[in-house]
Amino acid sequence: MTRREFFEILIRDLRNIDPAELQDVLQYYNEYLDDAGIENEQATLAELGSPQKIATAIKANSTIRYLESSEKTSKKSLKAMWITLGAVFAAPIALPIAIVAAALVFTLIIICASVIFSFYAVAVALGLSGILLSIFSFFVITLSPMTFLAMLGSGFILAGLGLLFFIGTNALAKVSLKGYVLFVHKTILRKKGN
Amino acid sequence: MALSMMNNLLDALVLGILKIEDTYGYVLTQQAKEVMDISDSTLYPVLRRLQKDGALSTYDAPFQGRNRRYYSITEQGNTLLEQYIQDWKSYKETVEKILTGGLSNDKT
Repeated sequence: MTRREFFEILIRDLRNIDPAELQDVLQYYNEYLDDAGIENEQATLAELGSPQKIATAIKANSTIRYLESSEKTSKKSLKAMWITLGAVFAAPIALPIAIVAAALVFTLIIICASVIFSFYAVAVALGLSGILLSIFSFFVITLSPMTFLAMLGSGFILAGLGLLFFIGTNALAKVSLKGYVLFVHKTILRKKGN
Repeated sequence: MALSMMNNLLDALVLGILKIEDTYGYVLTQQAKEVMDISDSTLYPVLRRLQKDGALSTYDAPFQGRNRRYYSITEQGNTLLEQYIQDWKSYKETVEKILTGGLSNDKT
């Protein structure tokens, strides 16, 4: 076996270990052969034995280290188990609280939506009645010009009020929508991001 | 038990050699081979393990245009070696007693 073959087999058999670890192995044996001297290379390679065996020994060693370290981490998983157990026992209290909180938030949203909807309804009613009043005022134009003027005037006032209400409600709806989007972003989306 | 004894003896031997002076893999192996029947490839896992346990540290020194990795014993390694020496002494006494028949003679 040549030096080249020795390292080729070593790299092939150790391709699954940590690259830094492999680097260390290769450096060690490269140095070892250098120190033994080129004139002794064949004898040293024979002395080192098969690279497959060397690779197996190294892999066995890292497996033992891994098993030893996983023994230590089993304590951690025990702690995690207690936390889980605690969470299970807390669930009868925590779960209803979460449901109530969700219901409250949902109710709040519904209330806001209803208020805005009713404001729109008021605005539409005012506007419509104003317009109708203005139209109907023309029916009394011949009977009583004064009543006609009063009806037309109040019709315009009502329509104007309706328009103002509509604008105001629009602004309110925009603010509410912004608030809702912000709330969703902060609570649900942030949790996802983390 | 026998296997762990062999491993500990190898650890102790490496630490003992490095206690005298820092050296590199090849010399370390040749010195260890003088007292124990080991292969040239036996020491690498031992050195790596001791290094990871903090008993050894390494440093590279240039030699003829390349690097040579020297191993040196750490404070922790010294403590470990002391322990091994104590273990070895008590082990040696026990074995000696049994082999020379001292133990059974004492009892009768």
